[in-house]
Amino acid sequence: MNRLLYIHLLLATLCLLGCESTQEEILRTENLYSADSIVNTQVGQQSVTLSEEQCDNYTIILTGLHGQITLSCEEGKLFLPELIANIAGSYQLLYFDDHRLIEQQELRIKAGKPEGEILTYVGPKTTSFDGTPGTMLTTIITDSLNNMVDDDIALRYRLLGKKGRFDRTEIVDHNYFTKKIFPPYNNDKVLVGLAGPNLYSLELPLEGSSGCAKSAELTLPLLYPLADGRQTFDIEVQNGIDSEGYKVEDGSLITLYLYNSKSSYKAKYTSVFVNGGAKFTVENPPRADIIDLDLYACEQLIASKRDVVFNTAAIEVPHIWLSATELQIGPVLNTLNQVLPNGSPIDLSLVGCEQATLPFIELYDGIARIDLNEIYTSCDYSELVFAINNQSTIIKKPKSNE
Amino acid sequence: MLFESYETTYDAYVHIFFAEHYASHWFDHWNYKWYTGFTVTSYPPLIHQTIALFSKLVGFKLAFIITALASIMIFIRGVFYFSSLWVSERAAAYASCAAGLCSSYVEAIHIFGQLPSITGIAILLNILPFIYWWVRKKKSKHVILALLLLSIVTCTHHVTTIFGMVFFIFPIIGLALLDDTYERDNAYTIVGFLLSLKQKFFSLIGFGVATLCITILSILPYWAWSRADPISQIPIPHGSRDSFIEVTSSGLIFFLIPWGMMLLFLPFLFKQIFKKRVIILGLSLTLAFILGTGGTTPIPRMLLGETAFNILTLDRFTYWATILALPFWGQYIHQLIEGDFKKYLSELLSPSGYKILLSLLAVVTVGSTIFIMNIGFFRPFQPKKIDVQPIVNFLSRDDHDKWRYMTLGFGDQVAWLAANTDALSIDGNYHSARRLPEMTTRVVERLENAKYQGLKGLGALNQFLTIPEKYNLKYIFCNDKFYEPILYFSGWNKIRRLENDVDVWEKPDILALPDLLPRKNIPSYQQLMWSTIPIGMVAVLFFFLIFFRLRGESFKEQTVISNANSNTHWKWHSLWAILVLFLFLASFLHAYITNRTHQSPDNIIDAYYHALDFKYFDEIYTFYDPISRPDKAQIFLDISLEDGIANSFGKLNSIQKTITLKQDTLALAVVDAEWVTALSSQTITTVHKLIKRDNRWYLKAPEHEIKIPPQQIVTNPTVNYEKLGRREAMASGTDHKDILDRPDIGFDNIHLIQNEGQYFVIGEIMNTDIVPAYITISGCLTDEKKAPIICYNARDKVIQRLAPKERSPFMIEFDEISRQHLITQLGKDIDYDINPFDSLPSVIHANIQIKALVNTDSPYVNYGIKNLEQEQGAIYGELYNFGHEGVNIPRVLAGFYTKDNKLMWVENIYLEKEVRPLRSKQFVLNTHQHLSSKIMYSLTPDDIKINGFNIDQNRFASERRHHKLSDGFSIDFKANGYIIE
Repeated sequence: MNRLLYIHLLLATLCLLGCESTQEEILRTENLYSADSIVNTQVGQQSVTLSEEQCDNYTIILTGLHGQITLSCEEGKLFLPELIANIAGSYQLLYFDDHRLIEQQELRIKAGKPEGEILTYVGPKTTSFDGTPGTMLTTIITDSLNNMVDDDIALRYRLLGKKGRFDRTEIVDHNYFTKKIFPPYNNDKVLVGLAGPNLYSLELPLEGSSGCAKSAELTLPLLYPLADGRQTFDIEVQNGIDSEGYKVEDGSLITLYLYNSKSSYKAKYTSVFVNGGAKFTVENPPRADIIDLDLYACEQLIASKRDVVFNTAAIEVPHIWLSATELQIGPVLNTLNQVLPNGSPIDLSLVGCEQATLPFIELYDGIARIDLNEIYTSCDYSELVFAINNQSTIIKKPKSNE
Repeated sequence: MLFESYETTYDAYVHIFFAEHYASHWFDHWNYKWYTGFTVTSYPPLIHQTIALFSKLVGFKLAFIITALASIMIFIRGVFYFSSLWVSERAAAYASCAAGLCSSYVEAIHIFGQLPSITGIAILLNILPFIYWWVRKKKSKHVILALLLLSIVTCTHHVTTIFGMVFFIFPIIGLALLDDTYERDNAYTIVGFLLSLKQKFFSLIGFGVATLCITILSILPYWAWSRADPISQIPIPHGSRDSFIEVTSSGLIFFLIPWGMMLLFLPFLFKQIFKKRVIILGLSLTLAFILGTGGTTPIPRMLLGETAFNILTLDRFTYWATILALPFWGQYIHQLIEGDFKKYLSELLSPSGYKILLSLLAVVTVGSTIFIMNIGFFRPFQPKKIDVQPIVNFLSRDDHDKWRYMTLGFGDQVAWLAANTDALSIDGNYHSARRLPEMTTRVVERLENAKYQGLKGLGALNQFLTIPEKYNLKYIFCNDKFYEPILYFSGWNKIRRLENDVDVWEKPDILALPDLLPRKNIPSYQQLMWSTIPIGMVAVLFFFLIFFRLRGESFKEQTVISNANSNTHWKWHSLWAILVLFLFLASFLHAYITNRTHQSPDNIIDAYYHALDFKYFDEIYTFYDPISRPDKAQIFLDISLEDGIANSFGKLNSIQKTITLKQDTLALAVVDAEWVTALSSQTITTVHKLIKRDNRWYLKAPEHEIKIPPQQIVTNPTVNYEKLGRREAMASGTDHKDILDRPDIGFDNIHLIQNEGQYFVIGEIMNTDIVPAYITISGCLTDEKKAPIICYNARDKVIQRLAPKERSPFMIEFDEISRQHLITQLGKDIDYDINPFDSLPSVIHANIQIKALVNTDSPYVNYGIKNLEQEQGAIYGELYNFGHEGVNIPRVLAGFYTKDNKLMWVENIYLEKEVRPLRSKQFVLNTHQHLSSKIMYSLTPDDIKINGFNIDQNRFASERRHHKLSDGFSIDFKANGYIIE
């Protein structure tokens, strides 16, 4: 008895394994619908007509929006739930026979007549008049259920600006209308309105901004002309205006180049216009130099300043021996008898031992100390050279018995 | 369990995630939440369904605890009945007591959180006596019960059924046949065994077939799934396959901890299992023991074959071996407490000495169990617990769940988040369900912990961050600062920090998910089977038990086992135990002594960098020379001012140290520390001075920046933007009204270039509009017919947030995506020295699309690039910050131009340290990469789309100002950076 049971179980298992099929294998090419491969209807229609064969013999599932919905179908009428009936678009009807997919068919729900407010948007402000291509106006035309319409529509748009009124009618052949309309002039304002059959729009101002900066004034209010690589000076930009004399838009980027050769910059700084002006805080160069300044906006030169002179900062580099191995550099003063700023680097080199690993030394309160024991080198040296801002001093290394 | 230790386990939340699926959609097999959807028929459902049912009453966490406690009780009962077949009832009782302290079992619960696996084994152990009794007594109630329970095991954890046949059921059947032989012949002989086998051969075959049918039918949809959608993934490296001698941490986790105190009785175990009655179990146990040693010997690889060895996690064999050993562990304890071993030790140590030893062993056993349960406290496996509610709230409001999200740095808590939200994640925590080629072809377990997978992990993550639109990925919840640089420089915006300190990052300009997502359906009968059979089998079991109970029948049969161990060599067993304990203590002491922090310059440097990596600043302070170090507060202050990509966002990968000078009390070490950051790896060379005081080595405290800017206050006018749109307060949204026009973007100099066999699209863009723009640049390499071959976005070689009239060079690097393309084609990973472009069709042209959005965050632009000097193939310069904010990760973007101003190359430099206001930091840029660039094709306006249109007018004019290089090329720098708000 048991054995028979086991044989049955085995056969059942084999059958199950053999009988199992994938969905792809089941899909047949049978054509359920005789004429129309697409079922068309309008939004708001609660049902569509199918053949009775389709209705009676199959489970019909609609896909295409928020998952799948099984639809009810009676006497050739396929009922659409409100969610579907009110949303135009393309859906798929899947016909199942005992959980096997038999066929698919497209259900197209067309939008209704255009009606109500035209949704129109443009940029928050337009781009400027000079050299830029214009403002994109986008209009979306919908029916009363908020579906975008498909039909051709004669759309009138009207502009009122500095140059007067302008009316134009366009035939819109798709469900949204985009157009680059001419931009307003710099600092101009254009009012736009749109209308069509049963359609109206809200007010829509297009504001013309000013264009790229064409000129500005460059001033150096107070220069501290020492090349210590630490002090800073402010460069002020004022009266940044476009080609028509309008103040440049806030937030526009400007670039300041510092150079001493026309073909190559040594430094560049960026800032933005605010209320037609800008400020750069620039560090003094580390070496004595004569530099030129160029100010650029929109990649074009708008102002220059020539021959800004920076002199050597340190006048001398004094030193004293604190012990046989400890050396104090400083206090290092500038031409105004001020100690050089904290962190000013001291370049150290050894005469006759150029490959040595040397410690990094900075001034603190104008002074730096170095322990010769911290100079690890395999070669011998007799002199140390300390340099600050090109100003150097040579110090003899004490002999070991000194 | 009651202390919620499961929350720090690897898998507990995954099972809760599955449970949530069944609680919400019991009859739906498809889960949309992870990857791009997967079928839950890929994992046996019973435990998840059980938790789902309980959760309706007590919530998911308590449901998990209840299920786990029930499982533990079933396990302890099972160990007793299973052990009773091998050893005396007294020893079995000890075995069941010891089962709760069994290291591997405790590890499986408290470290791995493998509830289905431990439940499967628990039920299986309870089945084995029924199989034994059925083979011996031939009562159908036993086989029916066994088969019913086997189906439940299968529905719980099918792997337990499959391997349980080999490791548990075959030995039990063998035992039954051997006992039959003994009963008949009064001896265990092969001939007698074969005779018993012959007598019961057809019954056993029938049982096997029935088991097969039960196994197939119980979870038929699983088998159908595994046949239709086989797992074809690159094996993920697993420590259980390591050589435990070479990788001692793997040896600890996958061998020493699972065996735990059982290591003390291994000779006793192997002596017991190689007796005639137990020989079949002995073979199974030995096999499991050997397989559990992973890659320590070549034997497991030979036994399993290359494929199985690389797919299976071998720790499960150790787990089964320890469970199989439990009866004998009980026997050992029995002997130790009541038997000959006790007598031997009492005589050897005196009765009080014996009692002390016994107490010590008990303390060590319980202590080791408690240690394993709390090992996560000593070495955290997971990030700190995250309150997921703020994330759930964020996702559920303002339609944020219309996009996919990703988490970074959440550990296994990703599953808990997923269980609590309806939003969909591109990542997940269930490897078997991954089907995205970006993940299956990489050794990436999951994206959220990509940093632990090195270059390949970050490579996979990069793809999702660079082209998030492919999977509608818009939000990232970041709980690990490590990822912040890559997020920022890949164009993600940090939009807010939630109440749980998790940062939300957003990618602008990503399309929402379509209303209907793809899914793979299964036949309805399979769906019904999956939803009803597992829980139905439990119901049938209860009916069956009640039915037989009502009839007054019992399932229990008497098994008399005599286990006299008079011959056991207790002396040798004692010596072995002493040897194991000695080895353990000796290794511990050796490790302690050799790794003492202040022992040598090497040790203190290692300890210092370890502490630096994990930001143990208090510890770091103790490493500094106590005589010369500044105050602790000063050091901490200095450290707090030294932010930067490596310091704050890096993970230490390796250090190379060279002791350049070592004297008695002084040493000098040069350390090259390689910090891996999400963007690149940075090697920072530091010279350390070491001083020896009182026989302890210390580091000299580093000196920090002493520069103080001359100004005492910085003023800096800024422009603020607010996007008003035309938003209306409507619950249903405001449709299209709120959308702003896309800013106008200019372009110039866009070329397809080839450099060292790889292709790039480079160019320049300018925000010609008057509002800040957020830029996305996508490019495709195309063939001669301009058909796309591969497409990718510009990642970090562009400034995505442009101020009005700001220009940026950009470069689209296709190496990662072309590598993915090739990997997907080959179905296997490739080395990084292979050029994937060699296998692509001929790249002839390219096209790009530039999209811009209004960005209301005003970009910080107050940078200067100064002191530029060219020296020996490199250009040195300084990035200067003259604004009012510290730039945490400064970046310099450099474009290389020919004499006639054609852009040839774009390079990125991330500066090591933060640049505070009115300070500068040096950078170095190698200037050779551009020399091998060759323009293959200059893109025409037809190849360029800006905001969806081909507009030739958008080409901008520029009076070029560059820094000239000595090779005739010139260079232009742009600077920007990540500022932590």
